[in-house]
Amino acid sequence: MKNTIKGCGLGLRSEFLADISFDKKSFSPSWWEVTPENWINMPIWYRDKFDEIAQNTPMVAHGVSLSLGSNKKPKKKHLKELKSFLDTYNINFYSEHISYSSYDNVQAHELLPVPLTHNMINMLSNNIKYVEDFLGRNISIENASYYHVEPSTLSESDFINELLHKSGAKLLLDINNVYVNSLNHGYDAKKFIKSLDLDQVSYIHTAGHYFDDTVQMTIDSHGTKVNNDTWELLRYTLKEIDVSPMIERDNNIPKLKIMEKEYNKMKKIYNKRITHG
Amino acid sequence: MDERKIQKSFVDQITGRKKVKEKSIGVYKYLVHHSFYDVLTNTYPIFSNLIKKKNFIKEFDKSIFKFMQTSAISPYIWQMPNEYRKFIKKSKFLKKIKYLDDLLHFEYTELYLFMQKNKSKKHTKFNMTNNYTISKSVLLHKYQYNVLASNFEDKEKTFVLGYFDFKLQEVAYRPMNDLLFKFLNFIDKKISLKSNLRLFLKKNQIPYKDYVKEFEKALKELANQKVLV
Repeated sequence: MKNTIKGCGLGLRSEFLADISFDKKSFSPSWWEVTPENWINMPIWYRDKFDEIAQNTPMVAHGVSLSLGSNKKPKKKHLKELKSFLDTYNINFYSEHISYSSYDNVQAHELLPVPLTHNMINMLSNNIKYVEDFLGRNISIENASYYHVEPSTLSESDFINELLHKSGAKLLLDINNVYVNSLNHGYDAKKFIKSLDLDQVSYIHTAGHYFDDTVQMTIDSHGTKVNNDTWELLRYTLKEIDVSPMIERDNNIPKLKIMEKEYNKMKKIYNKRITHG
Repeated sequence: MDERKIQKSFVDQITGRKKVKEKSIGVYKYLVHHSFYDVLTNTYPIFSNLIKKKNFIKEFDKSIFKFMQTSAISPYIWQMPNEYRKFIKKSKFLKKIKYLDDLLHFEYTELYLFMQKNKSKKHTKFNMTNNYTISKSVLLHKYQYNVLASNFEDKEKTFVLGYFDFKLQEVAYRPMNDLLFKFLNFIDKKISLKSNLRLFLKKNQIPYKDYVKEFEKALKELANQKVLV
Protein backbone atom coordinates (compact mmCIF):
# COMPACT_ATOMS: atom_id res chain seq x y z
CA MET A 1 0.00 0.00 0.00
CA LYS A 2 1.50 3.28 -1.06
CA ASN A 3 1.55 5.75 1.79
CA THR A 4 -0.35 8.66 0.37
CA ILE A 5 -1.82 10.09 3.55
CA LYS A 6 -0.39 13.56 3.92
CA GLY A 7 -0.82 16.20 6.60
CA CYS A 8 -2.81 15.75 9.80
CA GLY A 9 -6.15 14.07 10.33
CA LEU A 10 -9.10 14.26 12.67
CA GLY A 11 -11.86 11.80 13.53
CA LEU A 12 -15.15 12.90 11.99
CA ARG A 13 -18.09 12.84 14.43
CA SER A 14 -21.72 13.60 13.72
CA GLU A 15 -21.53 16.34 16.37
CA PHE A 16 -19.19 18.29 14.05
CA LEU A 17 -21.36 18.19 10.93
CA ALA A 18 -23.22 21.42 11.51
CA ASP A 19 -19.99 23.35 12.11
CA ILE A 20 -18.16 22.15 9.02
CA SER A 21 -18.10 24.49 6.04
CA PHE A 22 -15.96 24.77 2.95
CA ASP A 23 -15.02 28.39 2.48
CA LYS A 24 -11.31 29.17 2.63
CA LYS A 25 -11.44 30.67 6.13
CA SER A 26 -13.14 27.64 7.68
CA PHE A 27 -11.23 24.97 9.51
CA SER A 28 -10.64 21.69 7.77
CA PRO A 29 -8.12 18.98 8.62
CA SER A 30 -5.94 17.59 5.80
CA TRP A 31 -8.09 14.47 6.01
CA TRP A 32 -10.91 13.01 8.05
CA GLU A 33 -10.92 9.56 9.59
CA VAL A 34 -14.38 8.00 9.64
CA THR A 35 -15.60 4.92 11.50
CA PRO A 36 -17.75 3.09 8.92
CA GLU A 37 -19.96 1.53 11.62
CA ASN A 38 -21.08 5.06 12.53
CA TRP A 39 -21.86 6.13 8.96
CA ILE A 40 -23.03 3.06 7.03
CA ASN A 41 -26.53 3.48 8.47
CA MET A 42 -26.43 7.24 8.64
CA PRO A 43 -29.77 9.02 8.71
CA ILE A 44 -30.66 10.86 5.56
CA TRP A 45 -30.28 14.32 7.14
CA TYR A 46 -26.58 13.54 7.76
CA ARG A 47 -25.98 12.18 4.29
CA ASP A 48 -25.94 15.41 2.27
CA LYS A 49 -23.38 16.98 4.58
CA PHE A 50 -21.31 13.81 4.73
CA ASP A 51 -21.28 13.61 0.92
CA GLU A 52 -20.18 17.24 0.74
CA ILE A 53 -17.36 16.61 3.21
CA ALA A 54 -16.23 13.54 1.26
CA GLN A 55 -16.12 15.59 -1.93
CA ASN A 56 -14.03 18.31 -0.34
CA THR A 57 -11.64 16.50 1.99
CA PRO A 58 -9.88 13.11 1.69
CA MET A 59 -11.14 10.38 4.01
CA VAL A 60 -9.64 7.26 5.54
CA ALA A 61 -11.75 4.63 7.31
CA HIS A 62 -11.13 2.96 10.65
CA GLY A 63 -13.36 0.04 11.61
CA VAL A 64 -14.20 -1.20 15.08
CA SER A 65 -16.22 -4.37 14.72
CA LEU A 66 -14.66 -6.72 12.15
CA SER A 67 -13.15 -8.66 15.05
CA LEU A 68 -10.12 -9.94 13.14
CA GLY A 69 -8.97 -12.11 16.05
CA SER A 70 -12.30 -13.86 16.36
CA ASN A 71 -12.98 -17.58 15.90
CA LYS A 72 -15.46 -16.71 13.11
CA LYS A 73 -14.73 -14.89 9.88
CA PRO A 74 -16.36 -11.47 9.55
CA LYS A 75 -19.90 -11.81 8.23
CA LYS A 76 -20.32 -11.33 4.49
CA LYS A 77 -23.29 -9.01 4.97
CA HIS A 78 -21.19 -6.65 7.06
CA LEU A 79 -18.28 -6.84 4.61
CA LYS A 80 -20.59 -6.08 1.69
CA GLU A 81 -21.95 -3.01 3.48
CA LEU A 82 -18.41 -1.97 4.32
CA LYS A 83 -17.14 -2.40 0.76
CA SER A 84 -20.08 -0.50 -0.64
CA PHE A 85 -19.40 2.36 1.81
CA LEU A 86 -15.67 2.48 0.97
CA ASP A 87 -16.37 2.35 -2.78
CA THR A 88 -19.09 5.00 -2.62
CA TYR A 89 -16.79 7.47 -0.90
CA ASN A 90 -13.66 6.40 -2.77
CA ILE A 91 -11.85 5.54 0.46
CA ASN A 92 -8.68 3.54 -0.13
CA PHE A 93 -7.28 3.39 3.38
CA TYR A 94 -9.05 1.05 5.75
CA SER A 95 -7.83 -0.11 9.14
CA GLU A 96 -8.93 -2.40 11.96
CA HIS A 97 -7.50 -3.65 15.26
CA ILE A 98 -5.21 -6.43 16.46
CA SER A 99 -7.90 -7.77 18.74
CA TYR A 100 -11.37 -9.30 18.65
CA SER A 101 -14.70 -7.87 19.70
CA SER A 102 -17.00 -10.83 19.12
CA TYR A 103 -16.77 -14.53 19.83
CA ASP A 104 -19.12 -17.09 18.27
CA ASN A 105 -20.68 -14.03 16.59
CA VAL A 106 -21.79 -12.52 19.90
CA GLN A 107 -20.61 -8.92 20.24
CA ALA A 108 -18.78 -7.50 23.23
CA HIS A 109 -18.54 -4.06 21.57
CA GLU A 110 -15.10 -3.80 23.17
CA LEU A 111 -11.61 -4.58 21.83
CA LEU A 112 -10.43 -7.71 23.63
CA PRO A 113 -6.80 -8.89 24.00
CA VAL A 114 -5.56 -11.85 21.96
CA PRO A 115 -3.03 -14.44 23.13
CA LEU A 116 0.34 -13.44 21.65
CA THR A 117 1.30 -16.70 19.92
CA HIS A 118 2.36 -17.93 16.47
CA ASN A 119 -0.95 -19.71 16.10
CA MET A 120 -2.82 -16.45 16.77
CA ILE A 121 -0.69 -14.74 14.12
CA ASN A 122 -1.83 -17.38 11.63
CA MET A 123 -5.48 -16.97 12.58
CA LEU A 124 -5.31 -13.17 12.38
CA SER A 125 -3.43 -13.33 9.07
CA ASN A 126 -6.09 -15.60 7.57
CA ASN A 127 -8.84 -13.20 8.59
CA ILE A 128 -6.86 -10.19 7.34
CA LYS A 129 -6.34 -11.90 3.96
CA TYR A 130 -10.04 -12.78 3.80
CA VAL A 131 -11.03 -9.15 4.50
CA GLU A 132 -8.48 -7.76 2.05
CA ASP A 133 -9.69 -10.05 -0.72
CA PHE A 134 -13.30 -9.09 -0.04
CA LEU A 135 -12.67 -5.36 0.14
CA GLY A 136 -10.11 -5.29 -2.67
CA ARG A 137 -7.82 -3.21 -0.50
CA ASN A 138 -4.74 -3.71 1.62
CA ILE A 139 -5.54 -2.86 5.19
CA SER A 140 -3.72 -1.48 8.22
CA ILE A 141 -3.99 -3.01 11.67
CA GLU A 142 -3.79 -1.08 14.90
CA ASN A 143 -1.87 -2.04 18.03
CA ALA A 144 -4.59 -2.14 20.69
CA SER A 145 -4.61 -1.05 24.30
CA TYR A 146 -5.03 -3.94 26.72
CA TYR A 147 -5.64 -4.30 30.43
CA HIS A 148 -5.04 -8.02 30.68
CA VAL A 149 -2.27 -10.18 29.23
CA GLU A 150 -3.45 -13.51 27.91
CA PRO A 151 -1.13 -16.56 28.03
CA SER A 152 1.51 -15.79 25.38
CA THR A 153 4.71 -17.10 23.85
CA LEU A 154 5.82 -13.86 22.16
CA SER A 155 6.50 -10.33 23.33
CA GLU A 156 4.00 -7.75 22.07
CA SER A 157 6.45 -6.14 19.64
CA ASP A 158 7.63 -9.50 18.25
CA PHE A 159 4.00 -10.48 17.84
CA ILE A 160 3.12 -7.28 15.98
CA ASN A 161 6.22 -7.40 13.76
CA GLU A 162 5.67 -11.02 12.82
CA LEU A 163 1.98 -10.40 12.19
CA LEU A 164 2.82 -7.50 9.85
CA HIS A 165 5.33 -9.66 8.03
CA LYS A 166 3.04 -12.68 7.75
CA SER A 167 -0.12 -10.80 6.79
CA GLY A 168 1.42 -8.05 4.66
CA ALA A 169 -0.77 -5.53 6.47
CA LYS A 170 0.51 -2.10 7.43
CA LEU A 171 0.63 -0.86 11.02
CA LEU A 172 -1.67 1.86 12.25
CA LEU A 173 0.48 2.92 15.17
CA ASP A 174 -1.63 4.15 18.07
CA ILE A 175 0.79 5.97 20.32
CA ASN A 176 -1.87 6.62 22.95
CA ASN A 177 -2.37 2.85 23.20
CA VAL A 178 1.39 2.42 23.55
CA TYR A 179 1.44 5.06 26.26
CA VAL A 180 -1.55 3.60 28.14
CA ASN A 181 -0.07 0.09 27.92
CA SER A 182 3.30 1.35 29.13
CA LEU A 183 1.64 2.78 32.24
CA ASN A 184 -0.53 -0.25 32.93
CA HIS A 185 2.13 -2.86 32.24
CA GLY A 186 5.25 -0.98 33.28
CA TYR A 187 7.38 -0.66 30.19
CA ASP A 188 9.19 2.10 28.35
CA ALA A 189 6.92 3.52 25.62
CA LYS A 190 9.76 4.90 23.50
CA LYS A 191 11.71 1.63 23.60
CA PHE A 192 8.56 -0.21 22.60
CA ILE A 193 8.01 2.08 19.60
CA LYS A 194 11.64 1.68 18.58
CA SER A 195 11.25 -2.13 18.67
CA LEU A 196 8.44 -2.05 16.09
CA ASP A 197 8.98 -2.36 12.35
CA LEU A 198 8.44 1.34 11.78
CA ASP A 199 8.83 1.07 8.00
CA GLN A 200 5.42 -0.56 7.97
CA VAL A 201 3.55 2.28 9.70
CA SER A 202 0.80 3.80 7.56
CA TYR A 203 -0.25 6.55 9.97
CA ILE A 204 -0.49 7.42 13.64
CA HIS A 205 -3.37 7.63 16.09
CA THR A 206 -3.33 9.73 19.16
CA ALA A 207 -6.06 10.26 21.73
CA GLY A 208 -6.84 10.99 25.36
CA HIS A 209 -7.01 8.67 28.34
CA TYR A 210 -7.80 8.82 32.07
CA PHE A 211 -7.03 6.98 35.27
CA ASP A 212 -10.03 5.00 36.46
CA ASP A 213 -10.29 4.86 40.26
CA THR A 214 -12.65 1.87 40.21
CA VAL A 215 -10.36 -0.46 38.27
CA GLN A 216 -7.11 1.33 39.23
CA MET A 217 -5.82 1.40 35.67
CA THR A 218 -5.29 3.96 32.94
CA ILE A 219 -8.11 3.63 30.42
CA ASP A 220 -7.85 4.44 26.74
CA SER A 221 -11.11 6.39 26.68
CA HIS A 222 -10.80 8.72 23.66
CA GLY A 223 -12.87 11.00 25.84
CA THR A 224 -10.40 13.66 27.01
CA LYS A 225 -7.84 15.91 25.36
CA VAL A 226 -4.43 14.46 24.47
CA ASN A 227 -2.06 14.92 27.41
CA ASN A 228 1.49 16.27 27.37
CA ASP A 229 3.17 12.87 27.73
CA THR A 230 1.34 11.59 24.65
CA TRP A 231 2.28 14.71 22.68
CA GLU A 232 5.89 14.08 23.72
CA LEU A 233 5.61 10.50 22.47
CA LEU A 234 4.26 11.83 19.16
CA ARG A 235 7.25 14.19 18.87
CA TYR A 236 9.56 11.27 19.53
CA THR A 237 7.81 9.01 17.02
CA LEU A 238 7.83 11.65 14.29
CA LYS A 239 11.59 11.90 14.67
CA GLU A 240 11.73 8.20 13.84
CA ILE A 241 9.24 8.08 10.97
CA ASP A 242 7.63 10.49 8.57
CA VAL A 243 3.95 9.59 8.67
CA SER A 244 0.71 11.47 9.28
CA PRO A 245 -0.86 11.67 12.73
CA MET A 246 -4.49 12.15 13.65
CA ILE A 247 -6.60 12.64 16.78
CA GLU A 248 -9.37 10.23 17.74
CA ARG A 249 -12.14 11.62 19.93
CA ASP A 250 -15.08 9.25 20.47
CA ASN A 251 -16.50 10.28 23.85
CA ASN A 252 -17.34 13.58 25.55
CA ILE A 253 -17.20 15.11 22.09
CA PRO A 254 -16.45 18.84 22.33
CA LYS A 255 -17.27 21.53 19.81
CA LEU A 256 -15.25 21.46 16.59
CA LYS A 257 -13.62 24.75 17.68
CA ILE A 258 -12.06 22.95 20.65
CA MET A 259 -10.85 20.09 18.46
CA GLU A 260 -9.40 22.64 16.05
CA LYS A 261 -7.12 23.91 18.84
CA GLU A 262 -5.93 20.37 19.57
CA TYR A 263 -5.50 19.71 15.87
CA ASN A 264 -3.34 22.83 15.52
CA LYS A 265 -1.17 21.67 18.40
CA MET A 266 -0.66 18.35 16.60
CA LYS A 267 0.01 20.16 13.31
CA LYS A 268 2.70 22.25 14.95
CA ILE A 269 4.42 19.09 16.17
CA TYR A 270 4.01 17.46 12.76
CA ASN A 271 5.45 20.45 10.92
CA LYS A 272 8.52 20.45 13.15
CA ARG A 273 9.27 16.81 12.38
CA ILE A 274 12.48 15.79 10.66
CA THR A 275 11.55 14.67 7.19
CA HIS A 276 13.22 11.42 6.27
CA GLY A 277 14.50 10.98 2.74
CA MET B 1 -1.73 -23.86 23.62
CA ASP B 2 -5.37 -23.70 22.56
CA GLU B 3 -5.94 -20.05 21.71
CA ARG B 4 -9.65 -20.48 21.06
CA LYS B 5 -10.12 -22.10 24.46
CA ILE B 6 -8.32 -19.14 26.06
CA GLN B 7 -10.53 -16.66 24.21
CA LYS B 8 -13.71 -18.59 25.06
CA SER B 9 -12.79 -18.66 28.73
CA PHE B 10 -12.04 -14.91 28.66
CA VAL B 11 -15.37 -14.08 27.01
CA ASP B 12 -17.22 -16.35 29.46
CA GLN B 13 -15.69 -14.44 32.34
CA ILE B 14 -16.35 -10.92 31.07
CA THR B 15 -19.96 -11.73 30.18
CA GLY B 16 -20.65 -13.31 33.58
CA ARG B 17 -21.04 -16.89 32.36
CA LYS B 18 -18.06 -17.86 34.52
CA LYS B 19 -16.55 -16.37 37.64
CA VAL B 20 -13.73 -13.87 36.96
CA LYS B 21 -10.40 -15.47 37.83
CA GLU B 22 -8.10 -12.45 37.55
CA LYS B 23 -8.51 -8.81 38.48
CA SER B 24 -7.35 -7.67 35.03
CA ILE B 25 -10.11 -9.73 33.38
CA GLY B 26 -12.53 -8.01 35.77
CA VAL B 27 -11.52 -4.71 34.16
CA TYR B 28 -12.99 -5.94 30.87
CA LYS B 29 -16.13 -7.18 32.63
CA TYR B 30 -16.52 -3.69 34.06
CA LEU B 31 -15.82 -1.93 30.72
CA VAL B 32 -18.11 -4.13 28.63
CA HIS B 33 -20.97 -3.91 31.12
CA HIS B 34 -20.46 -0.15 31.41
CA SER B 35 -20.66 0.27 27.65
CA PHE B 36 -23.85 -1.81 27.33
CA TYR B 37 -25.37 -0.04 30.34
CA ASP B 38 -24.61 3.39 28.85
CA VAL B 39 -26.05 2.60 25.43
CA LEU B 40 -29.20 1.04 26.89
CA THR B 41 -29.90 3.79 29.43
CA ASN B 42 -29.30 6.50 26.82
CA THR B 43 -31.69 4.86 24.38
CA TYR B 44 -34.28 4.08 27.05
CA PRO B 45 -34.35 7.11 29.40
CA ILE B 46 -37.86 6.47 30.82
CA PHE B 47 -37.03 2.81 31.40
CA SER B 48 -33.73 3.84 32.96
CA ASN B 49 -35.43 6.19 35.46
CA LEU B 50 -37.99 3.53 36.23
CA ILE B 51 -35.49 0.83 37.14
CA LYS B 52 -33.66 3.27 39.40
CA LYS B 53 -36.87 4.41 41.04
CA LYS B 54 -38.30 0.95 41.55
CA ASN B 55 -34.98 -0.56 42.58
CA PHE B 56 -34.68 -2.99 39.67
CA ILE B 57 -31.02 -2.16 39.08
CA LYS B 58 -29.70 -5.58 40.14
CA GLU B 59 -32.18 -7.35 37.90
CA PHE B 60 -31.33 -4.98 35.06
CA ASP B 61 -27.62 -5.73 35.51
CA LYS B 62 -28.30 -9.47 35.50
CA SER B 63 -30.34 -9.09 32.33
CA ILE B 64 -27.48 -7.20 30.65
CA PHE B 65 -25.02 -9.99 31.39
CA LYS B 66 -27.41 -12.68 30.16
CA PHE B 67 -28.06 -10.60 27.05
CA MET B 68 -24.33 -10.16 26.43
CA GLN B 69 -23.84 -13.91 26.55
CA THR B 70 -26.24 -14.72 23.76
CA SER B 71 -28.12 -11.98 21.96
CA ALA B 72 -25.91 -9.00 21.05
CA ILE B 73 -25.26 -9.94 17.43
CA SER B 74 -25.21 -6.81 15.27
CA PRO B 75 -21.84 -5.17 14.58
CA TYR B 76 -23.66 -1.82 14.73
CA ILE B 77 -23.92 -0.68 18.30
CA TRP B 78 -26.97 1.49 17.59
CA GLN B 79 -28.92 -1.70 16.84
CA MET B 80 -28.05 -3.21 20.21
CA PRO B 81 -30.93 -1.64 22.21
CA ASN B 82 -33.43 -3.25 19.85
CA GLU B 83 -31.70 -6.60 20.29
CA TYR B 84 -32.00 -6.08 24.05
CA ARG B 85 -35.71 -5.24 23.72
CA LYS B 86 -36.34 -8.48 21.82
CA PHE B 87 -34.25 -10.43 24.32
CA ILE B 88 -36.17 -9.01 27.30
CA LYS B 89 -39.50 -9.87 25.70
CA LYS B 90 -38.55 -13.56 25.63
CA SER B 91 -36.65 -13.62 28.92
CA LYS B 92 -37.73 -13.99 32.54
CA PHE B 93 -36.23 -10.65 33.52
CA LEU B 94 -38.13 -7.60 34.78
CA LYS B 95 -41.50 -9.29 34.40
CA LYS B 96 -42.90 -7.22 37.31
CA ILE B 97 -42.98 -4.31 34.91
CA LYS B 98 -46.13 -5.31 33.04
CA TYR B 99 -45.84 -2.61 30.41
CA LEU B 100 -42.14 -3.17 29.72
CA ASP B 101 -42.60 -4.31 26.13
CA ASP B 102 -44.68 -1.24 25.28
CA LEU B 103 -42.24 1.08 27.00
CA LEU B 104 -39.11 -0.28 25.32
CA HIS B 105 -40.81 -0.43 21.93
CA PHE B 106 -42.00 3.16 22.23
CA GLU B 107 -38.63 4.46 23.38
CA TYR B 108 -36.77 2.56 20.66
CA THR B 109 -38.95 4.05 17.90
CA GLU B 110 -37.21 7.41 18.33
CA LEU B 111 -33.83 5.92 17.46
CA TYR B 112 -35.32 3.70 14.77
CA LEU B 113 -37.05 6.62 13.03
CA PHE B 114 -34.01 8.84 13.44
CA MET B 115 -31.80 6.29 11.69
CA GLN B 116 -34.04 5.87 8.65
CA LYS B 117 -32.31 6.41 5.33
CA ASN B 118 -35.25 7.47 3.22
CA LYS B 119 -35.28 10.73 1.39
CA SER B 120 -38.09 13.17 1.82
CA LYS B 121 -40.04 13.10 -1.41
CA LYS B 122 -40.96 16.31 -3.16
CA HIS B 123 -44.34 17.61 -2.14
CA THR B 124 -47.10 17.01 -4.66
CA LYS B 125 -50.66 18.24 -4.36
CA PHE B 126 -52.81 15.76 -2.48
CA ASN B 127 -55.32 13.93 -4.60
CA MET B 128 -57.48 10.97 -3.59
CA THR B 129 -57.25 9.55 -7.09
CA ASN B 130 -53.46 9.17 -6.80
CA ASN B 131 -51.72 6.07 -5.50
CA TYR B 132 -50.03 6.38 -2.12
CA THR B 133 -48.12 4.20 0.25
CA ILE B 134 -46.90 4.55 3.82
CA SER B 135 -43.44 6.09 3.98
CA LYS B 136 -40.65 3.84 5.18
CA SER B 137 -39.76 6.56 7.66
CA VAL B 138 -42.98 5.83 9.52
CA LEU B 139 -43.86 3.45 12.28
CA LEU B 140 -47.41 2.40 13.06
CA HIS B 141 -47.91 0.48 16.28
CA LYS B 142 -50.72 -0.59 18.57
CA TYR B 143 -49.78 -0.28 22.24
CA GLN B 144 -51.61 -1.75 25.22
CA TYR B 145 -50.90 1.37 27.28
CA ASN B 146 -51.19 5.06 26.53
CA VAL B 147 -47.50 5.58 25.87
CA LEU B 148 -48.04 9.09 24.52
CA ALA B 149 -49.46 10.22 27.87
CA SER B 150 -46.79 8.21 29.73
CA ASN B 151 -49.63 6.43 31.47
CA PHE B 152 -48.35 2.98 32.18
CA GLU B 153 -50.59 2.22 35.17
CA ASP B 154 -53.87 1.42 33.41
CA LYS B 155 -54.26 -0.49 30.19
CA GLU B 156 -55.57 1.63 27.35
CA LYS B 157 -55.21 0.55 23.75
CA THR B 158 -53.36 3.32 21.92
CA PHE B 159 -52.67 3.52 18.20
CA VAL B 160 -49.57 5.53 17.50
CA LEU B 161 -48.05 6.95 14.37
CA GLY B 162 -44.36 7.79 14.67
CA TYR B 163 -42.66 9.65 11.84
CA PHE B 164 -39.73 11.82 11.07
CA ASP B 165 -40.77 15.43 10.66
CA PHE B 166 -38.51 16.61 7.84
CA LYS B 167 -39.31 20.27 8.50
CA LEU B 168 -38.41 20.20 12.18
CA GLN B 169 -35.80 17.46 11.65
CA GLU B 170 -37.05 15.51 14.64
CA VAL B 171 -39.10 12.44 15.45
CA ALA B 172 -42.77 13.19 16.07
CA TYR B 173 -45.71 11.11 17.31
CA ARG B 174 -49.44 11.39 17.02
CA PRO B 175 -52.29 9.27 18.27
CA MET B 176 -54.64 7.71 15.73
CA ASN B 177 -58.11 6.33 15.97
CA ASP B 178 -58.64 2.64 15.47
CA LEU B 179 -60.22 3.06 12.04
CA LEU B 180 -57.55 5.30 10.52
CA PHE B 181 -54.85 3.04 11.95
CA LYS B 182 -56.46 0.00 10.31
CA PHE B 183 -56.86 1.86 7.04
CA LEU B 184 -53.19 2.90 6.90
CA ASN B 185 -52.23 -0.72 7.33
CA PHE B 186 -54.76 -1.67 4.65
CA ILE B 187 -53.47 0.64 1.90
CA ASP B 188 -52.42 -1.11 -1.29
CA LYS B 189 -50.08 1.13 -3.30
CA LYS B 190 -51.19 -0.44 -6.58
CA ILE B 191 -54.57 1.26 -6.45
CA SER B 192 -55.68 4.81 -5.77
CA LEU B 193 -56.33 6.09 -2.28
CA LYS B 194 -59.98 6.54 -3.19
CA SER B 195 -60.31 2.91 -4.32
CA ASN B 196 -58.49 1.78 -1.20
CA LEU B 197 -60.94 3.72 0.93
CA ARG B 198 -63.98 2.31 -0.87
CA LEU B 199 -62.72 -1.25 -0.44
CA PHE B 200 -61.80 -0.71 3.18
CA LEU B 201 -65.11 0.85 4.17
CA LYS B 202 -67.04 -1.82 2.31
CA LYS B 203 -65.06 -4.56 3.99
CA ASN B 204 -65.82 -3.04 7.38
CA GLN B 205 -69.47 -2.41 6.46
CA ILE B 206 -69.14 1.33 6.95
CA PRO B 207 -71.17 3.64 4.70
CA TYR B 208 -68.73 5.46 2.36
CA LYS B 209 -70.65 8.74 2.28
CA ASP B 210 -70.66 9.08 6.07
CA TYR B 211 -66.91 8.81 6.45
CA VAL B 212 -65.29 9.93 3.21
CA LYS B 213 -64.85 13.60 4.16
CA GLU B 214 -63.41 12.82 7.55
CA PHE B 215 -60.98 10.37 5.99
CA GLU B 216 -59.98 12.74 3.21
CA LYS B 217 -59.15 15.46 5.71
CA ALA B 218 -57.00 13.14 7.81
CA LEU B 219 -55.27 11.61 4.77
CA LYS B 220 -54.49 15.01 3.32
CA GLU B 221 -52.81 15.98 6.57
CA LEU B 222 -50.80 12.75 6.53
CA ALA B 223 -49.72 13.39 2.95
CA ASN B 224 -48.58 16.90 3.95
CA GLN B 225 -46.52 15.36 6.73
CA LYS B 226 -45.06 12.92 4.17
CA VAL B 227 -46.45 9.97 6.08
CA LEU B 228 -48.31 9.05 2.91
CA VAL B 229 -46.01 9.22 -0.10
